[in-house]
Amino acid sequence: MIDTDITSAANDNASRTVSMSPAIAVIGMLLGFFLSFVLLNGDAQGRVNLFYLLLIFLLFPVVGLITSVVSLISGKGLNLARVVSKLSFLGISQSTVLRQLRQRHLDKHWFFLQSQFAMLAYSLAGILTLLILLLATDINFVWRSTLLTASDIYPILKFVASPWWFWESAQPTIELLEHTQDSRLTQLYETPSNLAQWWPFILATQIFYTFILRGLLLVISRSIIKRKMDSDFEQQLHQRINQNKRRQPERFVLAEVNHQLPSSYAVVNWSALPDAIVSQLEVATGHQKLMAGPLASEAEQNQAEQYSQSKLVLVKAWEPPLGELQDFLQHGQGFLYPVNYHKQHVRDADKKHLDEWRRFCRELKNWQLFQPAHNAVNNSEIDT
Amino acid sequence: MRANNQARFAVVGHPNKGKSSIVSTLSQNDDVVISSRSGTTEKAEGISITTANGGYQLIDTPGFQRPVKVLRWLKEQGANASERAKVLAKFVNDSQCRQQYPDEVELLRPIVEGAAILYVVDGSHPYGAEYEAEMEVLRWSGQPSMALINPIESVEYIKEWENALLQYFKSVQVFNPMKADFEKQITLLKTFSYLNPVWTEGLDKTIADLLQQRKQQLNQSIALLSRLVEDLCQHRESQKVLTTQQAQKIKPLLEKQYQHWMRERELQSVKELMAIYGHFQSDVITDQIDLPPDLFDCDQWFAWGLDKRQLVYAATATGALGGAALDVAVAGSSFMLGALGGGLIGASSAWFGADKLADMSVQGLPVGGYEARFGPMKNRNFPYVVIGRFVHLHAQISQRSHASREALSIDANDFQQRVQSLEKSTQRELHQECERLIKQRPTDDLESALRPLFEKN
Repeated sequence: MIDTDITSAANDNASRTVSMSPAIAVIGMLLGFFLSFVLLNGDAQGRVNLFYLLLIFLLFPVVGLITSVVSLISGKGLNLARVVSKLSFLGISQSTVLRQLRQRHLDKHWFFLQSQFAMLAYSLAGILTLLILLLATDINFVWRSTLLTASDIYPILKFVASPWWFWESAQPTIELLEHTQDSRLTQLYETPSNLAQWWPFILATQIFYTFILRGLLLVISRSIIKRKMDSDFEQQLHQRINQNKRRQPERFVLAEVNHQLPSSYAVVNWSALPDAIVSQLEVATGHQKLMAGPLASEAEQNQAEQYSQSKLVLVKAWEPPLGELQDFLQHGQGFLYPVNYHKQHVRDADKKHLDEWRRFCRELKNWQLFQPAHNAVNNSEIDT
Repeated sequence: MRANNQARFAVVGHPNKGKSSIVSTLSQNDDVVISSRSGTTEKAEGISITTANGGYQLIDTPGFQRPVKVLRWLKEQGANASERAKVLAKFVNDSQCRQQYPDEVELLRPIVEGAAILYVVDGSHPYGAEYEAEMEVLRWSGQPSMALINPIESVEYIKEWENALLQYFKSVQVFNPMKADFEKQITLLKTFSYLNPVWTEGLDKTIADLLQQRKQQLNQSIALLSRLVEDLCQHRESQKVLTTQQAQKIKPLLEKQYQHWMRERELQSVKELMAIYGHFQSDVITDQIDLPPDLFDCDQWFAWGLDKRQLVYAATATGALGGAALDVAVAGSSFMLGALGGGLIGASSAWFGADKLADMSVQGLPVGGYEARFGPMKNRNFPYVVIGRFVHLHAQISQRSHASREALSIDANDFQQRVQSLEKSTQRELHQECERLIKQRPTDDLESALRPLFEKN
């Protein structure tokens, strides 16, 4: 069967396309864990630079997002998926999947999807690390700048926090900014407890700019890939092939062919065979001649029907039997003789024509099929 | 509800004269049952050909079984010429007639309901006066009509039939459904549009759509070949073993798997190619593609199935990542030396320690060994063999009548000539793409390189 191994392999590959690549997710998670842990540990006093946190929890994910979107929508210019597919440590199955994706112009979509998986893992690791460290240690969020003041930074942070406007405690305030500004020369804090108050803002940044955003993009990109895979012409061809099942070959039961006739019978010329042809048929000479069939008169037809003895009905071999002949054959018994001729010369009937008459005769009770002995037919082929 | 301006054609005639074959060919549908046994079609069956902007309907009908008796019945109604169509409608709706002449009622019903007549005869046997009764019955309908002479076995009696048919039909065409290619089908369809002026616009749109569909089928065929040849050139079967002796032992198994995969992959494409052109009931006889003898290879592998080069890459990346984390931890004051140093350490330890790693084992499981591999294809001629077989088969399938149910065979003897007949620049483009395939590189322009081969058909 054609559609077994290869098609099922293609289907497996299709499902693998929209599933997460463990290696990519592990890389994202490790990166998220390392960066978060290293930065959130801070210095000896547990001070953590707020700007560094924004670098890894806001800037890095957003720049990553822009890069992957540009990679997705640009033509051949920037295709990171192509770069990934050239990595030599990819296994056979991964290379096969990537090749199939490229053939379907989906390699960039796949890379976009995997980058969402990676950033989700990165975000999850970052959030977990933050929560664990919040529980297990004291984190003092501070910010330092030579050039910027709290009033310079506030509008930017306010803009950053706009997606979670409803989360009051995660909103930045100018007072908090002023209270958490740090200098390595002067380390005087009026209320040290203020230094911990940035954690909801940091957590919300991670949740909204990485987790939710990437989660949404993951769902969208998955559905786009699935839709594109389903609308691929090869996929549609498979469906059509499955819908159009092969028919079983026909089987017919055939009547035996007789080469002997009784001594007495009337010859009925059903198909109006020319006299020149009838005269060449040895079995027709010396017997009573009757007319019937489409070209016979009503009187001739009646006479033929009422003839009660055995009849030899002459028909054109190449013409299939019609209902009119079937009606006629209900009145009597005898033999059907399909005659083939070409340019006024009688010839042996073709096998395919004779088979049609044999099928017809098989269903008649009082009639047998006749052919001269020189046109011997293999009667063993009764079932074809 | 049926649109009044949609063309409808009832295909009628004696049993076994190719009515179903004509319906199958014109509807490009090989699901229409064609049987050597007469009387297979017992009910009138409409096959709709639907296109984006048009469409028409062909109605496959049972053959005439009792035309003489039907004509006698019609004449007994004593109608003049203006009433004959009504008498025919009466015949179709008469319950006694439905019992006595079921085939004639079935075949005449769509005609009474407005379908045009396509009357089919066999041009390979002499004309017989017994056909006149059925032609006379059809004439009673007054519907637009055309006769099609189907030369089933020969063209010997076409003239004789033509002379007879012109007595009853204004238009007589010779049409062999078994051999009619797409162009001939379109030509016939164009003549249909003259039968009834109301249908002309719809049929013209249908023809335009069919021509458009033809282009799409060609594009899909090219894309299919592009995918096939790339898959076949890049496929490999591999198995990890501990020693080179084991690798040699499993060589026959890998070879068998590889050949099986290659054969099945090609057959899958053939089946898809046939599906593009709507052929689902035909067999294809294919020989195994000749594969070159030098496809077996055996390489050493190290941890996680990586070869030495891959191990060096992986170790470099891991070292650089670890170093980069350190760089971040010291807020960049290391000037990225962590990443650089980590990468160097990873690379050198992998390069020098790989051989030792191969001899190690973790909980009894080896972390190194050999990979026996069959493929990928490196023979320069191979892509041309695959392309040649496919292009040849495409030429057959794209011109194949849907009435034809004979098996197809793949044979690509003339392919070398076909390539040589291309322009030099086109040849060069094809050679470049094939070279990329053999070197296992992605091919971006393979489809455009293959297109001229199809357009030479």
